[in-house]
Amino acid sequence: MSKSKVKYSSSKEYIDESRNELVLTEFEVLNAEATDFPGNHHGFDDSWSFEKFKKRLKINIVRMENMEIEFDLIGVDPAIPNAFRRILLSDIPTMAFDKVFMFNNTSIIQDEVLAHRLGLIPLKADPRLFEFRAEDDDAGTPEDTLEFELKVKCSWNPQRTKDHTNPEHLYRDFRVLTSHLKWMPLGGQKDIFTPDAVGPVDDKILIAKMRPGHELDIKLHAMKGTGREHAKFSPVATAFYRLLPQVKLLKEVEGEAAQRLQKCFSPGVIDLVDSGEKKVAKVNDARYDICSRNVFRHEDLKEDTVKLTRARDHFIFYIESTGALAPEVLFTEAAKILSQKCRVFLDELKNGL
Amino acid sequence: MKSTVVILIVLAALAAVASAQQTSWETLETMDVDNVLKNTKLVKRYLDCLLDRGRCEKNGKDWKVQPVYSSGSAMYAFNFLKISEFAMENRRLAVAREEEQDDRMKTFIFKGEGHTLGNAIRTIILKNPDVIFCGYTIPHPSENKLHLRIETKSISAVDALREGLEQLQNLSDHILKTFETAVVDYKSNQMEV
Repeated sequence: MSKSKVKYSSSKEYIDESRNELVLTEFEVLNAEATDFPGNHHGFDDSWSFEKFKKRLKINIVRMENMEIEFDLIGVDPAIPNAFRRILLSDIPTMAFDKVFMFNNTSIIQDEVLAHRLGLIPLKADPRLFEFRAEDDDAGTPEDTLEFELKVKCSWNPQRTKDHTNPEHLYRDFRVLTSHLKWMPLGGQKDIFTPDAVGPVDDKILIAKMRPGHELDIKLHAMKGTGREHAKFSPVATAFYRLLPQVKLLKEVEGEAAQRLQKCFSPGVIDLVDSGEKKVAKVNDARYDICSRNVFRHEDLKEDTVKLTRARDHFIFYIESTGALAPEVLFTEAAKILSQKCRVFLDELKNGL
Repeated sequence: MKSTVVILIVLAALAAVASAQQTSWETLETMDVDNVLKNTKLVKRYLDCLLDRGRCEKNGKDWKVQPVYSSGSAMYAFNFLKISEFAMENRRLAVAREEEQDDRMKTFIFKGEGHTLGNAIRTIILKNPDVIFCGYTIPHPSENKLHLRIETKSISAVDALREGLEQLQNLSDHILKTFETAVVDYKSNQMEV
């Protein structure tokens, strides 16, 4: 429908757009489906060529901090980054508390609620150094288990004075934090790991609150698992990607209209430059635009002023790790897992179907 | 006299027919195990009979496979069948409707896979110019199975699948390498700054 309103200067422009860009109009998103398969476009050779793929693929790391990474993946079909995203969420293993032995819990937090909270605590232990626990094994071995102890007793502060109401002053150890978790090395683990390397990521995570007389005596077993089994085993806070937005101005916008145009987009997308007496709008960098399509709310800026598109093969990937593995390590593990999946089935094909 | 001769002939004929329908022996020793292994259903039927799990029947006729302890090679063939059945049950890749003869169109069943592998392998296989049709489906979300159908013009569907898997493996290995190089470059740039 809206396609008939858009004017193309040549058929080549039309074909390029349908192959490379997602067009955002007022009411629709066009060209969402991939069409670059052999035989679809006359004159294009779309068959798979590893050499062509190697030339087109670009990876640029924009920002890499302690727990977060932002990078560009350019030149792939959307099925590939989606496969990586799904693997990051559910197929990369982590260590987390899975068995909780409650010897004494007199706090007001129920046993199961407390166990649930303990399971969600992120641990620094590198899952690649551990095995999965065998299904029928109840006790666990040093190769697949990390044992922790949580023993906290809340008591009155003997030096308290009557007029204070602040719990900090009145009670001792009324907050149960992850710093109270104590690692109990099994077998030869103390020669391989240090408490720093396998403990919780953050020492100040609040587990429970107590009052004088309450006590916790808990033993915990951490095991290796994947996000598929339970979300506590997911190694990413989240991992997601979006397509690179593109904004093209089709005509000159100046003065007050330019200011309105600038407000339609996220800050930094449109710049106002001096041209003579007036200020003219110019596209600076559309990368961090939210793509709200606010432009279509202004009657004078609706038609033939801007063209909003997204590059179909340019993915801006964000990965935030929960602390066990660095985000760049997470992506390499995801790529290895995808390769491993293919290898498993190739081996089965080799042995005969 | 004539009637008794006729009756005798009829009885003899009946006896012959009856004996033909009776149990016929098939030895494990002389069985062509390779041929049997090609058909998973046949393996299951042999083992159903040998292990007393089910009926002993082949092509609608009663047959009895000769007892396993009859010889060393028979024992060997029996163990081979048992191991193969176990491997087949733990196999992650199978073909639906094995009896279809056309090699160029097959539906592959992947156990333990979903959209992660399905969509990725589908886009790669569709870029093969010989492939006419490629689509995947997850028949029911409660069952962890993926069905991938490939139809080609001339190459066999298994070859198309194999090429697709190899290409996907090369693709992910290359992305891994490129990413690691990019990380090293970024870190060294940060050092300079």
